Amino acid sequence: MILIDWAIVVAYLLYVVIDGLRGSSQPQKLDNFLLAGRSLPWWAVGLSIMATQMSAITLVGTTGQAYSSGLRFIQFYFGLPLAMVLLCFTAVPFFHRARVFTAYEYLERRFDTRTRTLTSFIFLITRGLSCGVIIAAPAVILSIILGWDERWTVLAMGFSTTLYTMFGGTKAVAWADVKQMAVIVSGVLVTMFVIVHQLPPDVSWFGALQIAAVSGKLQAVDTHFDLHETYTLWSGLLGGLFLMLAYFGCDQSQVQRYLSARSVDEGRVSLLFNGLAKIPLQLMILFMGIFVFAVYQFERPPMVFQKVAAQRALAGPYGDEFSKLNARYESEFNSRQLAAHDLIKPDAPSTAKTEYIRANTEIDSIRRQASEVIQKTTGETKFSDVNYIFPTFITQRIPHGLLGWLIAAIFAAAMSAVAGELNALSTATTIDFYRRFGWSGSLEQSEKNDEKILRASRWITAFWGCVACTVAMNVARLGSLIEVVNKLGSYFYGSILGVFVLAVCFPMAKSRGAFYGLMAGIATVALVAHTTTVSFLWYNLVGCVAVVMVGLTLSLVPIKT
Amino acid sequence: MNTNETEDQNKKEHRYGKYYALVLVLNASWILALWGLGKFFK
Repeated sequence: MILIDWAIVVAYLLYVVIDGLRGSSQPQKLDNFLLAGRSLPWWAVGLSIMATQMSAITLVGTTGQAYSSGLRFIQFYFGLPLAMVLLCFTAVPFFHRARVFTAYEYLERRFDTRTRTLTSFIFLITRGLSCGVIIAAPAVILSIILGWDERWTVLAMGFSTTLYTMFGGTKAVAWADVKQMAVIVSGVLVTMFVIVHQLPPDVSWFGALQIAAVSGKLQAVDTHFDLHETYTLWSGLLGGLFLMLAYFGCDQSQVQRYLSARSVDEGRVSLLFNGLAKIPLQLMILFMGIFVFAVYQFERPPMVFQKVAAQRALAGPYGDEFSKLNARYESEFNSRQLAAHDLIKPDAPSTAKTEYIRANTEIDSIRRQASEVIQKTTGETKFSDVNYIFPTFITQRIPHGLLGWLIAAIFAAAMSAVAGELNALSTATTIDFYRRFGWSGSLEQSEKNDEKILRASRWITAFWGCVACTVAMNVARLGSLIEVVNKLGSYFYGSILGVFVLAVCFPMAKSRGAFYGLMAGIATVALVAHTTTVSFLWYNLVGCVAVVMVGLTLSLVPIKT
Repeated sequence: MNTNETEDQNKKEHRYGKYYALVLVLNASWILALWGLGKFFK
């Protein structure tokens, strides 16, 4: 990082905050603050939806995932377009016409207060924790790149995002998302171009793809049906469909985006835009990882991308073992490099492919053994350096100026996701608890009461910002907790979707069925997660089906009280 | 909702039908293209 990179990062952070705060000095109404006065055009809402879904780990981790296991991750998104279409004629018109602030508000009208309160409470707990994780994961990576203490990177993201979300509300969040998406997409496009130009002069982009193909990285679609495998065509289409229905249809952080659209139609188009653009955008990021892999065939990458962990292993009790692995890695890399060069020659020798596959398999095995040494040294149960591949590459190979732009893009991805979450957490707390239970002093809707609620909403945003930063600072030190928090979310998603399915599709469903069905759904998912090795993508389907079945049974069976 | 509003709504749904189909067809095309890419480079 040199001065120009720092200047770009600092200019980006200042611009986002100042731009977000602009307009917050004007007097605002509750509807303006929480739903941008339902005035946003479809393209701004669509970009905001995409920015909220894309966290920094999506940007950095997906590139690393493509480097290590190829394009197969794209299958995760195969259910998304169908989910968008289904939501266009269910959730969007339902929520818009109900004139609600939160998705859970609708559940009280359809069922009862306790169902609304429970779903909103689950959202607050899971999203409050995951908001911390969304900050923590890139904070650790950025702290290594920038040479800052983790607490400073957490605060740089958390504080600045909280500031413009707290004062600017949904409108500021949405317009900041639009600009942040511009920073991310332009950064990805230019980087892609630069990475392809990093290939040696005798290696074309087609040659790079040939090499990636020999190592199996272009096998994007896996047609095998295996419940234990996370990324297959079927888990993406079915499990992914339910996950996306739950995320875009029942999660306030997304529902709030399309509720701020000018009309039902514009809300619909924003979701369709997401359905059209998501897969190409993810593919672009994945191909960036594929080309990083191709460049590293001709330039020796580190054996372990997480430098700090590698240094600890080298200095630790298993340092000798680690050094030997490094020497073997060096030798196998040279063999693979020669084989890769041979592979793309027009008159490639017949042994080139076999030799390349042998050396590549050996390199993968050495990297696995190195991870085991790190685990033994640090005492961690799991170690993965996937999230460090892209940051290592950009700091070593990307020209200055563009490096600053990319760091700003990582900040942008993290901040856009966090802003959407904080905005939704504040809205759900304000509307489903503060206003609903009359903590503002009155249950009546009046201008004076709305002003009070709006002021409270700002402070509640600040409160959730503090919670997210505190979680981030502690989670960053306890790596395994990140996985726990991510899994926690998947326990509830499908079950909450089940309650909405009961509400929208089954007029005979009653409040008792919805409430106990929700609890039965959560219990079923917990049981499946603890007793089987079924992939987490299926939890959403299991939870949803369990809620609908139990909910309908309890609704239809007469119970004497 | 009166009869005219319902008719308007039905027309709108019909108009959106084309966009829904476009999104789904493009998704299927991506899946096929990616499957083809894997086969081509096998």
